[in-house]
Amino acid sequence: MLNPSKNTKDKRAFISFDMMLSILPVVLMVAYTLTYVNFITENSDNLIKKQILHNKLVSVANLVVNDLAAKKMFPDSPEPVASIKPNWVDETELAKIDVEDLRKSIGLVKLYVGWKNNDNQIDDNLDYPKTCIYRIVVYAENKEIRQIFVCGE
Amino acid sequence: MVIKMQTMEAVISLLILVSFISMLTLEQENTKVRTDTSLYKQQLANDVWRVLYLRGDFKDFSFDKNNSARDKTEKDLERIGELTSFCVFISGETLTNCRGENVGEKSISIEKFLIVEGELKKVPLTIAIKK
Repeated sequence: MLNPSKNTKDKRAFISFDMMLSILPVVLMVAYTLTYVNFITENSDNLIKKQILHNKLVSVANLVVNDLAAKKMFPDSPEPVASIKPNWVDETELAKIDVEDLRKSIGLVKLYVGWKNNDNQIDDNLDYPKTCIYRIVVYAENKEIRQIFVCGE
Repeated sequence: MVIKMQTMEAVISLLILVSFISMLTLEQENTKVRTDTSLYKQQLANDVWRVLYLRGDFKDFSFDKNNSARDKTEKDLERIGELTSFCVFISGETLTNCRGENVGEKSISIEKFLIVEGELKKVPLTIAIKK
């Protein structure tokens, strides 16, 4: 004859064991999912930051090329109104740009506006911002074709 | 009790499976996202046109092969290509620094107006990355 109380105990033990086996993978999957969600959030956060930095650099470069560093010509009249030549960079105008002020106004840590040397480096400055964009311009009176760089962090 | 438990298990497993698949799909979509540079490319294409204009390449311009302005324009396009690794096409392969070359995907195309032999013409300018 079978003992009924032993049978019930066996059944309970089986259910507990079965429950443990089903809960364990669920817990593991939930933990894995949470880690992955965290990874995806961080990833999209980085992408957004990258996009914002790119947009800021594009805006600065556009302002530099179309206005700040652009050659200005003043007609001979009592009230001279400068005729601005976009994409024609004038060294004097370029030197006048207050990069520090520009950097603060757009909320960047570092900002560089200028040329790169033949080694594709900013002269003697190892601490320059790593993300750069460029615009194609003409430079000086001989209208030499050059790239002007805007780098930021 | 055992049957209810099994049903619950099946429901939970299905839910987890569905969320797992949607998460993986989301991840795939996420890796495809790149920085949007369309506006910047548009500006670069306009830069090319503006630089050519400032250097006087469009003065007395003609698509005629013996035209000196055309030669000058091609030399300027070659210089731009050296600096940027771009292939620039003006009016298809009529005026380019990459004639007959195998180029990558076309980056951007804009349309500009140009006076050619006294006639106002709409000219497409396309930029592609050199392979």
